[in-house]
Amino acid sequence: MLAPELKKGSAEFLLLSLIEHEARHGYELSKLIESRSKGTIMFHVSSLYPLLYRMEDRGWIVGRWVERAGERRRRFYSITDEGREILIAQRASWREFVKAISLVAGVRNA
Amino acid sequence: MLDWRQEIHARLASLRLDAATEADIAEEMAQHIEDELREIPPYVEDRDARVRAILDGFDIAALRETMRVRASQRAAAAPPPVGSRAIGRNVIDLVRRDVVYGWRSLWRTKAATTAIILSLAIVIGANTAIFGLVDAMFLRRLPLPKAEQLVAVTPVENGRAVSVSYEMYKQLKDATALPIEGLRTEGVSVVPMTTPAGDQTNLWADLVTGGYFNLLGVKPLVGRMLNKQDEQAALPVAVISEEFWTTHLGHRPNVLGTQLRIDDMTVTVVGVAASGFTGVYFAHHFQVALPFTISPEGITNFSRLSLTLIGRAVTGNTRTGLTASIDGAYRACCLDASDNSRLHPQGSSVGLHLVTVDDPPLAWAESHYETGVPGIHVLLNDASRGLPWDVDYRDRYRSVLLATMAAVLLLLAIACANVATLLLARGETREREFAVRRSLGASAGRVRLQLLIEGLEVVAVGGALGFALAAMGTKLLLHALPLSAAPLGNSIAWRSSGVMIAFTSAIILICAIATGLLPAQRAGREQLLGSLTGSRRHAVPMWRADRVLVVTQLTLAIVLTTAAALYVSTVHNLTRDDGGYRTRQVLLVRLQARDRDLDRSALRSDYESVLRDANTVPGVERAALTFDAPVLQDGEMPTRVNPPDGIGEQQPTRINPVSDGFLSAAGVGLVAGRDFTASDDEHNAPVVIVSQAFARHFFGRGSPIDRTIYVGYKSDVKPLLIIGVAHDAGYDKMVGLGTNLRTLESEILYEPIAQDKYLPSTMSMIVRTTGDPLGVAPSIRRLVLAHASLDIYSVTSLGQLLDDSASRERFAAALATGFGFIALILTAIGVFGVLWFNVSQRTKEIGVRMALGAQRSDAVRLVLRQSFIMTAIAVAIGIPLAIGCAWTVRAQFFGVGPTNFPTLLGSSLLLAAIAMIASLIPCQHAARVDPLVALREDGV
Repeated sequence: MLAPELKKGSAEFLLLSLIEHEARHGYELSKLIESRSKGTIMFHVSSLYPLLYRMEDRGWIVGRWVERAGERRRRFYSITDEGREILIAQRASWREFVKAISLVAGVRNA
Repeated sequence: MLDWRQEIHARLASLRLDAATEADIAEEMAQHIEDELREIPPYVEDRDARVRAILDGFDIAALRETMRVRASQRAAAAPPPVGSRAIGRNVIDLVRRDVVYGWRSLWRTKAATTAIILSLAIVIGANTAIFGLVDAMFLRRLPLPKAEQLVAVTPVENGRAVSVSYEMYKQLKDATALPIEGLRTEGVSVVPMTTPAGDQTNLWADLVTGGYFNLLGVKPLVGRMLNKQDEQAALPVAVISEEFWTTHLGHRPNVLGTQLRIDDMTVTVVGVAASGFTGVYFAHHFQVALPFTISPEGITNFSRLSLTLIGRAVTGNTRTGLTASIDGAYRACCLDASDNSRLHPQGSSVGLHLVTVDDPPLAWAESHYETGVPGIHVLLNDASRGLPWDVDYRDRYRSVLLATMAAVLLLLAIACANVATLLLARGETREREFAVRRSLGASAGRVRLQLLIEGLEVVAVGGALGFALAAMGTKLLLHALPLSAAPLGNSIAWRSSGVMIAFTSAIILICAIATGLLPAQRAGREQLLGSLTGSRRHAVPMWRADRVLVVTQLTLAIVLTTAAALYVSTVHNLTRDDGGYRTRQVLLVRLQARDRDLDRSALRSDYESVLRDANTVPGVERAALTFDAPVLQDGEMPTRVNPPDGIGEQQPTRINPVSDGFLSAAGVGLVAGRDFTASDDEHNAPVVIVSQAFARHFFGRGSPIDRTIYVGYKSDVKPLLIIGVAHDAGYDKMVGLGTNLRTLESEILYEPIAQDKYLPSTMSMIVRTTGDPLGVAPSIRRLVLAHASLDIYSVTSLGQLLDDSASRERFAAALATGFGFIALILTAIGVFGVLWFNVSQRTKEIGVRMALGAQRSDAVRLVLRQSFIMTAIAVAIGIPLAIGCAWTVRAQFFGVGPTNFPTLLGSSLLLAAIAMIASLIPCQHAARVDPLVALREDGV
């Protein structure tokens, strides 16, 4: 598991990245993070939804109820223009951070 | 099976959301749980426990916070539905949240917050206290209706106030449209004729004209005030103050009709003046008023006594217009043709006139009116803040108070710089917090506002605390006042008026802006990236701002400590230098004739008799009479000395009539020649003793003994034979009329009173004693009062008088030392704060240096170097500034100048020492930097 502080700072970044190209619902997001990080990062339902609502309030993402044939309606989250800007900025800063860590600590970027 | 949908609703209910939002959230949660459950294999039995675990982990607090923010954002974004009130509510809500957040953040750094609040409380308190004194002395008006209209009406001739007789007052009142009333304040003894009879009290009674209270607009609390009938019929009635009623009559309800024995007259109380009425004087409270026309025993022939005239300049009249009109009226009524010469004074310089001693200028008038304006014979002066009583405290303390006000404002600047430094330093450690807030969408303005609010919070708390401290501080300050200034203490005691609160609020606002702006501006341009990633790269090292602030503090502290040192030297010089008199065993008894119209020969024989008796009192070594009281110098008898033997320049010189034995009694002593003897009287040739300085001036190295000088004015020139030379003795003008002159006028002529045809109606008796001078005071007092023509004005020891005369300087020294000390402490905190945070910031740099082979001493040197550079810059700026400031108040220093080298050097060294001490802990911190830890900490 990742240190809580690190997770806290990166959660929004991760969520934005996951909806960058397609809208996803909350459960899907939590499963994707868990599976892609190979279990290193896990989001509890308890903190995931408040975080999503907060990001929505900030205007980074927008949630819509979508009904698909044969399925119950679900709330899908998609990224807004503002969210995209934040994502670009955060991605750059993380890249730089990782680069700096590699330089200092000799960690290779995988 | 657990009904988790129900459970979700139950948990959400506490959030009090609107129905739609709650339904939305509940549905989303429920789906999530369903999705989770779907993934749990059917063979897992305890599915409820899993659901409960999910539900229990549900962070209701986080959701609540999110919903609250959402609600307030919606409210802010929505157009104002019902006008400005809604906007106001939103703004209040935002500010309220910032205030709460600010407190939490301040609470986290308790030590820094406490230091900030305390330093602010001290300086805001000091400012409020000093402003309170300035307000009480110079700004506050008498508590009378339309006090701003009150004027003192003073006829002036040749630059001197002339006495106003009752007749003159009546004529002037009839001749001018300006409402004028008069009063005269006399010392009386009062015995309340209650049962049992009260104690005798000596106090000041105001003898007032009929319309006096009406003019001032004073209403009675009980009964009535004095009126015109009382004046015309000379009724034996009195109006008393509420204070007198309480203190002397026990606040008895049937006060009206109470009889008072005032000197040898019985008067009836007909009224009590409204509470709050304190009379028309500053630092002197009204107690009893009587009609001017009644004549208490001992104050005979009232019509010749001088009145103080008060007028009310009603709106619509310019001061110039009024002055012209009353001036015309005065010329018409009170200057007759035979007095015409008085319109054209022959000399305008006061120093050259022989002033008749039995008609001395009004004490307070002299300090107000410097020289006569040709053609103007009546002056109208502002009386709205009260007339000066026997000592003009305003004049005496003006420069000290103004200098102190400047000093406390400097302190305020230091404290603001300090607080700004500490807030900046706090800001340094909060970089991350701000960066996170910014990255979460807070605008730069919002972060700035947050910091401003935090600044305002500490300043407001400090200010409130300071206001309370000011009340205590004023009490302490009043303790520093000499005993003789007790009435002043009453007048300037602490009052929390609207003006004071306004002043403190203004100071708080200035502090808040001064201390909050810099950190706020700094936080606004915080680099997000660097702070988030933990690498700090400052394009411009921010501590330059700190350094400027600390240099400013050090500079101001130098100015204050220099001033304090100069004041302390002044007090030291003043008390050490006793002006040529051996003062510690001398009693000074100031005598005055009971009646100025007294036959001179009777007065002369009483003077001689008193002197004779005093010399027989046990414990008295020698008693003598002098016109000029040493130190006090309340009489003035300048004359013109023509050159000795008719050669050389003319010189205005002080001439002092003394009895034989004065020089030895006063401890002045003779250098050459002889003292006066009983045979130096009006039957023998006039003789004189001159001071050394006089002898030096006129005779150089030659002996003045047996030479003749010509003293006097115009037709009244008399030849005087010099029989002796006395040591120089100082006539210091510190007490009395409150001038700032500190020159020791030592060119003095002493003449025997027996040869003085204008025998003064006031004299001082110098009594040199073998023991404590105050020990013989009762005997002396008794023997003086046994003489019908003489009264005692005051009895003091000369030593006490000298100490009192330095009281203003002592007061200033106490203030300056206190404030200098506070300034040093504040500065030490400032230096410490900046260096400490600088070291914290440069931990990595120091670590790298050490890793590259630098020694611990190098790290220490790094810190000390900074401290040293800051101190050096501060000294370079501070010393000229200190000299400049001291120069502007140089008149207050005695025996030490603004450029006194040891003082300047001392304060510079003191500052350097303080700066070094403040650097010690940061140095230690720097020396302890572990290169490995430093690199690791700052790297990731």
